[in-house]
Amino acid sequence: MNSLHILYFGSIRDITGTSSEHLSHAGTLSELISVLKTHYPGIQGTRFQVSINRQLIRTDELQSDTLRPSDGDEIALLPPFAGG
Amino acid sequence: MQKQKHLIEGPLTGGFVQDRLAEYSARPEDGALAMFLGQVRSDEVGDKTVEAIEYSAYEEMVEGTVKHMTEELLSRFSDLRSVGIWHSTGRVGAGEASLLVIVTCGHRKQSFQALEELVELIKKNLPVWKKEWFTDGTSRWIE
Repeated sequence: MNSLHILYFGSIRDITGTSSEHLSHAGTLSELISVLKTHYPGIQGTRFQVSINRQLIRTDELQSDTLRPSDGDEIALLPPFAGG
Repeated sequence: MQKQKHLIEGPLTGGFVQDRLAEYSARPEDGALAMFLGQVRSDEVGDKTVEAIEYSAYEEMVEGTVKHMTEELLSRFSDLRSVGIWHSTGRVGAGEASLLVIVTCGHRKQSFQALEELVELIKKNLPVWKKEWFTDGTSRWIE
């Protein structure tokens, strides 16, 4: 199992009720997102991007079966940016 | 380019803006400085009025994003000399500034173009979120 640091931002933070947590996960990134959506049903209807170690993940990468987070990775769920 | 602190807690005050302008205009090799100051609008939404915006950011990601945007801009504008970006975090009231962008160039033409493009890049890429607070105490996320 890999220990992952999960970060939540913007409206997603209101849904999860926390800004971050540590999770043990052995599968793909796509499976991790499914786990999070099950745990926090509120994010299912929310648009967001995902980053690993501060690098945005493209949608096709996110859906692939090959992208697996590594132990210690920082995964962030990022609603649409709204700076300015 | 010098190392900057891009996120500032609270509104960007007149004094802060003045200091940045003084710093960036003191470059004798640059012929043009263009600046954008974004501020919080007291928008009317239905029967509500925006009183403030609360900004939050993925602080650890901001530096890399700014570096990436700056590099992209420098590769496209040959006359661009320096770039400065500062964004508020926390609560900023209507009429107060939350985003300051400065570019300096050798000449004026590219300074206008680079500034406009950089503001668009910031809107699209900077990992910042905002929640509008209304005068009646309610709030909503802006996406």
